[in-house]
Amino acid sequence: MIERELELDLTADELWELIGTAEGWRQWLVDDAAVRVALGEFGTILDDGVERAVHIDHVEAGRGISFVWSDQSDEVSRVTIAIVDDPTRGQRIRITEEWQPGTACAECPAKSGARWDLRACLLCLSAVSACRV
Amino acid sequence: MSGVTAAALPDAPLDVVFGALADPTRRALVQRLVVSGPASATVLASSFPFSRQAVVKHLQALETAGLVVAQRVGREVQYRAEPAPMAAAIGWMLDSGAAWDRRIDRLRQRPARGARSATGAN
Repeated sequence: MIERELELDLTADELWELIGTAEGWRQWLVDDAAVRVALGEFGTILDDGVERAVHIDHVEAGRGISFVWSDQSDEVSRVTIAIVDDPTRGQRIRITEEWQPGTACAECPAKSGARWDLRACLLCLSAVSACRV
Repeated sequence: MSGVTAAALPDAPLDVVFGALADPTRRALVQRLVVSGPASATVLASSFPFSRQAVVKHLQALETAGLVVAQRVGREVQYRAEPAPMAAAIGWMLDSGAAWDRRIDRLRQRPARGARSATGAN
């Protein structure tokens, strides 16, 4: 799992705009985002020249989001970006990315079909992740 | 995400791989197998201050994580190190970590709150 945490001199609203909107994503997270950052939404993002499918599976307004994303390979990972309000250190962003190796997709019923449907897999992975929490 | 190909992806989840390697005895067993080649649990136990049974238990955990492969040779089971899960996991961590560092750099390069207010930027 990858973990990063950073402190930013921004208001809570400004932080949330960076995390909870596609426009905010374009400023730092990805090159381009064609997704509505809302619970259950699917979309695509362009990251370092690579297109990825993304599924938003958790949104807590003003606090944080989670999503799963994947490129055309079987590599799928789950990203959580949260705003941490620490009275001693101010407001920070905590980011985690957890790899969901190929076996995670193998659990997905969508893969047992004749066609591999990335969206269905992302949806399935979100459900599997939620069940594990 | 990394440039690791799907074919190189490990069969065991990342947490299982690193969980198995969290134990110093298991790391020593993997190192022993990498350095000296395949060995049976009996031979390995002779190199460690543990019973054969304890060594087998550690080897089974490593096998579950895909880090060692057991193969029956005659009447005994030989264990050999399998580095692919480690390579794939480390590759993903390096690539993904570097990508997040770039993203965080972009965040930090944004103008400070006061500067944005002064220029009217949002």
